[in-house]
Amino acid sequence: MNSLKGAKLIIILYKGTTLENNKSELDKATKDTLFEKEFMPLIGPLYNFAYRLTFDEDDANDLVQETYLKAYRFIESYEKGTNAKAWLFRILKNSFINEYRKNAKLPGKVDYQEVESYYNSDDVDEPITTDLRVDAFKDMIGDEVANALNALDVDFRTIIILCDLEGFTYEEMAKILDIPIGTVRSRLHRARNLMKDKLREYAKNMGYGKKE
Amino acid sequence: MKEAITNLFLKILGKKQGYCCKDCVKNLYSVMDGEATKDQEEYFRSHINECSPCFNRYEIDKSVKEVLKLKVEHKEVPSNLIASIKNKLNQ
Ligand SMILES: [Zn+2]
Repeated sequence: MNSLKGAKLIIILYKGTTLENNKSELDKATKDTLFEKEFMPLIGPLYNFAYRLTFDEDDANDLVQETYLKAYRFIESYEKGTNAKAWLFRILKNSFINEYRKNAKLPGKVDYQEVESYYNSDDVDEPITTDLRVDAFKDMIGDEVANALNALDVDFRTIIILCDLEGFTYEEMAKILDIPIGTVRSRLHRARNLMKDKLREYAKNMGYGKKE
Repeated sequence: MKEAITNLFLKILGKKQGYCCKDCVKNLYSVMDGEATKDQEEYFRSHINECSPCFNRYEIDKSVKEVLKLKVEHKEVPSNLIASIKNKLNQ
């Protein structure tokens, strides 16, 4: 028995398992308890995530509702004791991509290839610009930061929400977004630079960017 | 009020201060996001004692992260949402 082969096969089977293929093994009472105890308490973060993706209360409502209905339908594929929050966030993100994103008016797609090759190449040194002062952020009013976040392209906004607002680990974010950890890092890096650019823009628009 | 905003934005616009290496930025985020190993974190902490670009960058990025966490408005879940989900499930 080649155990390595066996393990690989299991991984392939696991990865290839579509949610629909799972046969129901839990009875309704068990499902309901799991749903009530582990999934429903996460409605706050899920609703906020949905709202920050769609900027619309009705859409956020629908998205969260759909997420919970899917979660219940596919509850067999949820492994008890694993991260329910990451699992639900992943469902919500996929629902958003499938049903909302294609209809939404969104800016053009970002060329990640370019961003990532830049970030991963060894011969490019990252210029560290420190033209933002720490004190400014300490007192910064929430509106500016929220606006800067909301102005980001949806993929960049998402990674900031997952990391900085929801505190997911890089590994969890990789699973939620179906991307490698290296891409999590580079996207986060790019998103944070864009955030700071936005904050600088606000300052300039207020008329404080002129050289004395 | 106007003066307060003026001061705020004057603080944001400082000067560009220099460069450090790409690895530092990677480490900086790992440390900030709690993803660094003990060694990486130790190395980075001692590095920023000597490298002011990295020190400033770390302070700034950390502040943005903190402000995001503290100040981005938390929206209340609509009161009927839970009921409507449960309703749909029992259909
Ligand atoms: Zn440095």
